[in-house]
Amino acid sequence: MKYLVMETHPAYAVVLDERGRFLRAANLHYEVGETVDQVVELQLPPARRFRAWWLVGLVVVLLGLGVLFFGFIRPQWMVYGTVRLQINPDVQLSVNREDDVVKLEGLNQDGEALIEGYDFRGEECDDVVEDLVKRALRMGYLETGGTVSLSASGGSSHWRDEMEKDLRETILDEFKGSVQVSAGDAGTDQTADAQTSRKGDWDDDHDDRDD
Amino acid sequence: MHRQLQMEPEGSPLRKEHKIEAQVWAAQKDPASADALIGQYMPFIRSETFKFTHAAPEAGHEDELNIAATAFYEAALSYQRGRGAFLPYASTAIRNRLIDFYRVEQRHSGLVPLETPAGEDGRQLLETLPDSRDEIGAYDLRAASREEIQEFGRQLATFGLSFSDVADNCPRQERTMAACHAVLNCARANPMLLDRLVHTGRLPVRELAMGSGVDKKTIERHRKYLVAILLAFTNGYEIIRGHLRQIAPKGGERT
Repeated sequence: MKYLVMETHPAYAVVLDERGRFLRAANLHYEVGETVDQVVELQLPPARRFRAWWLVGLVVVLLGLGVLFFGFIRPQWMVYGTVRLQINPDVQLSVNREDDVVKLEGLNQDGEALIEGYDFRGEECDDVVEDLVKRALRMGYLETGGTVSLSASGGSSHWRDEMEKDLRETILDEFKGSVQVSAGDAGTDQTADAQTSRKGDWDDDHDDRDD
Repeated sequence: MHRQLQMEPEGSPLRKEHKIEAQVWAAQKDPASADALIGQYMPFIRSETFKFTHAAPEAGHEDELNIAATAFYEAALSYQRGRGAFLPYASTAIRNRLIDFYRVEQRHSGLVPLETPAGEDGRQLLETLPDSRDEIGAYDLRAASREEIQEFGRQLATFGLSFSDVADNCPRQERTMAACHAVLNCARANPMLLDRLVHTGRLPVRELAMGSGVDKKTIERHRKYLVAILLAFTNGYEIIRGHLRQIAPKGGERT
């Protein structure tokens, strides 16, 4: 094999072999245009796998973010079930798998008034229910001896049963029997009959709800 | 790290090492910076060569000095953070390369150098051999080759390429080289494609891919090399084409 010297540098020369390969070789006093029979080829480092490592790193980071999002962040914000609290004000609490309240909404006008200005973020469901009953008492929606209706929906049947049971015990413990609890039947006519209305506007709210 | 460097006094070993590293990173990206680095550290390279040969490079060890310079360059290209200080790394690379070089040279140890005394009259063996070479013809050919290569280099420069760029982009695997040869054969069979390359300054990738059956990505990946090898088969580079006899068996004539 013969090599044609194409370019010379202090440390190497670029040579062209008869097969058309351009090679870097040790410059043993070569001159451009010279033809040589043997060259000492440069031992170049293998191409860096920067891109491959960069890609692997990206995939690992994306997987990590996926695990973080779907394993931790999303469950925190994902609604697992809802709890409906009916006094006369009608309120729905959306809770995650950890029983933290992620959304609170009033389903009628009184319900919106009851939750107005209330910060539920980071609170557990039983604390929120307890606070709302206290607010209802303070705002005159609920009187001593009145009944609060609770019902859980969504989630598993076990979760619904446990949630209703826990909330019922929480209210009974906190209010020492001064408030009655009707669990599992909120939104039904039977529950509505047990509710305490305020200033005679229960009928209007009831009509709204039926609508 | 930068603050630590600022606190280091001028000429301290740490500051020197950082300066060398910066030069090495530049040498990895730019052949001109590599040449400057080699020039600056030639005393170091000579010193490392002397440690190995125990003789001045001028005393018949010029090749060893060149091999050492090549090894220094290889070390600069392959140096990465985490491999310690650069100069000890380069020193090891030079020593290993010289050992390899000597091993290869030993294979030829049975041969008699042409400079060996051939008689009592002090003449060398070279002078006793019949001279069958046409020295004047060889000189003329070399001068013509040099001119043609310089012109080739100038035309490559219009594409923003140097021979070093082309060497870096040259296929290393046989399969890829065969694919590039197929692209070249396609271009030689369709001289219009070679003309388009020259006149537009762009490689007609789509037509070459369709004509040769080589994947467009392969052509794009070796664009610099293909530009060079296709240019060599345009008019005006007879000596280079004549040299490429293994891919231009018919004498390299343009079809």
